[in-house]
Amino acid sequence: MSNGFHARKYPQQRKSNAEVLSKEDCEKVSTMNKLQEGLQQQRRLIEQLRCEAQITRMRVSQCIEDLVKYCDNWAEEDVLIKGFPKPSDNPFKEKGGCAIL
Amino acid sequence: MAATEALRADNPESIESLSREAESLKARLEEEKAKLNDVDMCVVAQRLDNLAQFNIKPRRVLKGHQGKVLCMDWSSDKRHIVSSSQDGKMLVWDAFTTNKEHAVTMPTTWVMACSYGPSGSIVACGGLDNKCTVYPLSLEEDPASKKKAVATHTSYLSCCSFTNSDYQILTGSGDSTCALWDVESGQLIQSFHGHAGDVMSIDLSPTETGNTFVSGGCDKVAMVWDMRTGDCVQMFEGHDSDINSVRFYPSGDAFATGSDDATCRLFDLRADREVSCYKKESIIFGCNSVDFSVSGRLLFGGYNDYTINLWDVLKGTRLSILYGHENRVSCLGVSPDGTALCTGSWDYTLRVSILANLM
Repeated sequence: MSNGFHARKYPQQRKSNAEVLSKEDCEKVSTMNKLQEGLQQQRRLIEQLRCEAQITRMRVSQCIEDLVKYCDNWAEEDVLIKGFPKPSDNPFKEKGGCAIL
Repeated sequence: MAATEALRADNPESIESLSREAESLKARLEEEKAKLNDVDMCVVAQRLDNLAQFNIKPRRVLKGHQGKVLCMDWSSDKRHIVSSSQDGKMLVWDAFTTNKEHAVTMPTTWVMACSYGPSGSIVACGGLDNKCTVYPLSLEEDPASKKKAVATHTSYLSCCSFTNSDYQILTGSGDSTCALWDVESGQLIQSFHGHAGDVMSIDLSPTETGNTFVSGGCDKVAMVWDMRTGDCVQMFEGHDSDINSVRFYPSGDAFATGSDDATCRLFDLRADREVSCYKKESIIFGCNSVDFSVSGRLLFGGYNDYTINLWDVLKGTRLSILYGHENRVSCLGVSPDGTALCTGSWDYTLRVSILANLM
């Protein structure tokens, strides 16, 4: 999965151990490694799921209520919604814009 | 093949039986979560006022990179920005004046990660060199003279973030792990194993007692980790493709994701599930980066179709589209005081946008 990803998004030089081992040996080693890795991964996943089963969860309605409350409490401070209180608060004023005489 | 057979015999629990067990555990979990899914976020949000028409406009264009901009981060002073690029450069900008204050040439191209330290006097970056290197910033000296390699992974560095101090840094890598490092000694403090694909993005919990962070990767999964133990405490599935970006909701109770599946999603930690999905039929390109406004009401997403979509987090609707970049939007971030949005693109530039006053 990650190799395909490299090819797709980022260029990366991959080192191969083909120079050291015969092609056949390489294949054997890699099959065994993959199998081991797969088992390891599944065991970890199961352990993970067992842990997650223990979590105390809250109702979605309650969680959303809290998200809404947070937005309300901070709405006045949100300059990307409300704009700058005074134009002089804006450090990104157009440079060389017309000054009020 | 004989070796493989022998190995199978040594492992009475086959991959098949293990994955069956995992599937049944997953099904039971889903059932439990579904019981608490008592309402739809968009329905709850119907009673809220609509936000006014948005007019967010670029006010500064930062030009200087000679390659695709891959990552950016704001300084805590709300004025300086660090950015990194495919050209192997890391630049530190004064966003008010657009001046470049520092330039560092890395020994690699594709510098995919950069981060400002909380003090504002140190930056970190890395990429295809598989390392995370820190550079103390001072006006007298070239930052490169005091550089220090802190972290080493076995594949590329995709993201990094200082914790609440300049002394520890968290990294994510294409080797599918995250790791916490001591900056001074370069010692590994904790490593985080669990992703089954490249880690693309991390974000630290904004809560004081947090000690947790979230990560997202090419295994389409987002994970929440306990920094002290190294354990994954929660796992969130739902995306159909790589997760490129994760970002905590400002309260720390939820986080947003941006994915190659052309959606952004909101996952709530306490409900332990996805609570909203931000998508449109017309949006077919992947999302590379997400961030919230300070109140958490707005979610910005930078997409491969050169646009930035602005979502109403609560109502799940798109409020506006920001144009301007001439290539993919690769990274974005809202300044710490929430006044400005900085976006970086494969068009070699960064732009700083603000809400233009309605005149």
